[in-house]
Amino acid sequence: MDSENQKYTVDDEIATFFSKTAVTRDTCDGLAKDLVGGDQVVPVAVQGVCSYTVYAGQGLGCVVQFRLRSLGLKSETAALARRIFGSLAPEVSFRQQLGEDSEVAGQEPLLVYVMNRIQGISRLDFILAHGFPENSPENMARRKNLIQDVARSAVGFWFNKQYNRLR
Amino acid sequence: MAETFEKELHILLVALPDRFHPIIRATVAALPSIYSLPTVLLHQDFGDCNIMVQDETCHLVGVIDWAEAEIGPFGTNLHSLQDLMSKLHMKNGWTRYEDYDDLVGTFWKTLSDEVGGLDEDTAKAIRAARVLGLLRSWAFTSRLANEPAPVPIKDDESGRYRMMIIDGLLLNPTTRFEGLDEWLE
Repeated sequence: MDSENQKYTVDDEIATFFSKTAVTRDTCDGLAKDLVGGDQVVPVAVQGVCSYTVYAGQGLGCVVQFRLRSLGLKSETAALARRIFGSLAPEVSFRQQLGEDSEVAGQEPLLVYVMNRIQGISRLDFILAHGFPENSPENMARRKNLIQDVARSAVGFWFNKQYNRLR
Repeated sequence: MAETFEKELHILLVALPDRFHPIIRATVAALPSIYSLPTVLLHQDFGDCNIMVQDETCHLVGVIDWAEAEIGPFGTNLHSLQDLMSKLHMKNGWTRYEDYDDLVGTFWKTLSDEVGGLDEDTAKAIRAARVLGLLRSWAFTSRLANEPAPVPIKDDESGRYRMMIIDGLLLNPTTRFEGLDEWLE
């Protein structure tokens, strides 16, 4: 996919999202700056149809996410992930609702969350940048790194004592 | 939870084509062993956009988007790891990377080393949990909270992509999960 097409797709996803709410993108971007400071707001490269997510704040070090109210984050789940995974999971805080309850069908208010930005790049971007040739020794070594790390983190939550207390 | 799993598997036994029946029955039979696994928090959208890695080394840095995470038996989201060891083409299905076997071995060895040894029964239960998770995720339509309740996929154009995924991981002898032959004997 070339960058022009990719841009079109992201804009399209963002437009689809804002068709489901009366809140505007400008309102969201403005609130993002108010919440975390900084003068830049940059949408993340891959958007879901149920949320609008931007990098903002000093050095774009924060993530602000606007979600349709019907798909709000469960704060217990986010907190549990953070307790179990530590820095492997973002710290999420709910800030406010944006927009009023609407009578208009298909127009939802948004719920606003702020989280820290996990450093590094997505595996998708990694593959686009380094993924070929697929079966080079370098890429085999990289896949091995990742599968090992994932196996170790899987064990981390297997044995998580904090969680076991909640069972 | 236990009731839900059993109910869903019985729905699939009616709805999915006959070729899947032996494996669904084996999964029903394995449910007690699956429930004996530790209950953990399962990320349900462990895909390429949500896995954050270090540039150059590809070491794991973090996992984002825990919105769909839920609590359940260990292993019921391990089907997601297939994406780290093979690639999925929209039309042609799964192709394993050349180091697939090594990666599978590395995964199980790391898991076993970290827990101080996995006995064969536990490993078997984890493999069964992986099949259960795959069926729950891909043999039904989407599970997003604001969409209609999930229904089993159909063996037609609308279900083609999902059917290709489960055919590839459960039936196709060149791409299916390791250890299924022994399990189904």
